[in-house]
Amino acid sequence: MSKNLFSGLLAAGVGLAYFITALLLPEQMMGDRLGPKVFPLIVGAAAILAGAGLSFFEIWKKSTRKDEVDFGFKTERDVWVKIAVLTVAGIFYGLSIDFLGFILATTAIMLVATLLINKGHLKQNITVSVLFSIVSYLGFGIALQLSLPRGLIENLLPF
Amino acid sequence: MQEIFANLALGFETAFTLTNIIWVFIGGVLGTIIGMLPGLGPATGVAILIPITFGMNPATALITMCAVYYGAMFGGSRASIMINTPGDAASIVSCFDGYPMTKQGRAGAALAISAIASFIGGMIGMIFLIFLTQPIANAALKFGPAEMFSLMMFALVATISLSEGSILKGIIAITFGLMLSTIGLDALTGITRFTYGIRSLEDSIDFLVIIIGVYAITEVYKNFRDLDTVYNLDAKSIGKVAITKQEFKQSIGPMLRATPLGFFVGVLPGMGATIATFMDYAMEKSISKHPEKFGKGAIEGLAGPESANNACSCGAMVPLLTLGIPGSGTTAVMLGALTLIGVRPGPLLFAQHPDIAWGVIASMLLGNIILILINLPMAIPLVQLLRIPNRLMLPSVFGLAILGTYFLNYSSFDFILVMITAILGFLFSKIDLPIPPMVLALILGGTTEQTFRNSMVLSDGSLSILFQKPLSAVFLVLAAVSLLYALIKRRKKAA
Repeated sequence: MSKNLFSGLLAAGVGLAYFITALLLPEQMMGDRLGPKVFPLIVGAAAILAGAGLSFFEIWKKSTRKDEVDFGFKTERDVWVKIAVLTVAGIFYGLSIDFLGFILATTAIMLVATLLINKGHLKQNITVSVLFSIVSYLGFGIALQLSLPRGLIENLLPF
Repeated sequence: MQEIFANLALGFETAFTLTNIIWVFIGGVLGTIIGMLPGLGPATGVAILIPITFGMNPATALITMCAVYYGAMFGGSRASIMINTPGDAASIVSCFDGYPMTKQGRAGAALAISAIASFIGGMIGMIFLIFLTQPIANAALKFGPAEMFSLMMFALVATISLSEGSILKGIIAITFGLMLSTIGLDALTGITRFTYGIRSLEDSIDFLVIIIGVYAITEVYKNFRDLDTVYNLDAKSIGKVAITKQEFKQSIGPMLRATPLGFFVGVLPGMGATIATFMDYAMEKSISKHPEKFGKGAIEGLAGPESANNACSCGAMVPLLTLGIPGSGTTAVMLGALTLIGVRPGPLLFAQHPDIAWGVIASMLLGNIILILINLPMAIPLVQLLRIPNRLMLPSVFGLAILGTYFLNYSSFDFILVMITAILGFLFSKIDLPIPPMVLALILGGTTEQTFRNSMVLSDGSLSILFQKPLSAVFLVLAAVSLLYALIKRRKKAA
């Protein structure tokens, strides 16, 4: 499938789902009655039309091999593995930062990121991760006085 | 005229504090470094440096953002000149003659003229900015909802039609951005829309989360394929970072011609510095007595586009500051960051907070001077940073993006959103779906809908109000013309 056809079908599909959801929105009994629905309906219709138009033109036109969609799930497997691990790590960071505290959580996520991206340099990665979290804590937490969680090591922190 | 000078004096009073000068310096250096590093660029730079403005007062935050933006514009061409790899799209043209100059052993002159041309373009661009902002802001105060809606439509349409790529894909990107902007509680009626039962979405999506996802983290993902790229950089061969009198004489004409061109291209939504630099390069080549020298190390071919680039960034501040409409990806990110700290650019900014609005303008003048002082003597140490391989730089960019996400709202849900957005941004890049129109639509979506609905209430549901108001009709005609122009341009290109 070509990139344009994929984009067109994606837009038409998302636009349709959005349009139907907009149709189901409740109407106000007074004031700006159709207000909350009208704009989303127009946007949904525009997405469907643009998507259908792009798909239509693409089917009529012969696309070259260069235009074929390739997300690289097979050819760039290593890239996708890194993306998957960082995605999980990022979400885990958000969920655990209050419990672990800013410094521990930031060191952990930086360690994951550096180990994935800068393979084979354990000492360097640990140094970068620890320094990054401490410097950012000093910068944002102490200098700019943002409220940052201290977490598990609250009593061990000298600052 | 007197009003402008009085406001400028107020601006200087705001900008010239020790704290602000220090932040202009820090922002300028960081911006130069980020603008210089291939694969990052100004939009990503501003996105990942948003956290440094937290805890600042609005004027200082805005001044710092501008310094980062401006610094990135100064730094963008360093990599083009030294390693033939542009720091951002606007610096592609700088490769044409900058890199040949380096190969001829004239890297010092190339780096010097790049900084000098950026300075001259920036300073003259600032003068245009000073004299244009107040009249536009005053005129914009008289806009009703119909005029504002039509202006938004023009900005959105111009963004897709004046940029490269498929128009339909641009429209799709805009509809995606508008869809995201409608998620959450409807501000006018209190109805919850498109949340699908997820309570965290009721407060609507913070567009800065999306911006960090698609600009900062997606850029990290895109660079995963080139982790071990190391650029050959011979710093010893740079020589003295200076130009001769003869070289200055050759460059002054191109710089003075490029500046107004760059500025007015920058004012138009969607055009941006890339188009300005290409247009200027083509113009200089066509009027040159020695066009055959272009592409082989002609200093004019570097000086003109560098001035156009910086003048364009001044021009882009006009719609941002006076109308609240970002004309490019970077100014869209800046608008997001400013909204976060409680500053809403637009005509009211000049009426209600002239100290902030004019403080920023004054700080840009100051920033321009500081940046040339940084970029001339520190050119050689700065370009050494190009030796840093991606595998060392990317974790820091990722870390800053994560911190930025956390500092926005201290919300766990934002991390789910930012990681999903980053993957979507990466997937969109694989199918060539443009990100800037989506971000622009997401940012302008709320105001676009609100002004549309207000217009409909005023006209009892009739679309004719958009054509009855003269200025509104003009904006809609401009939108149609820019779309038509894009269609003709693409048809010619295809033929």
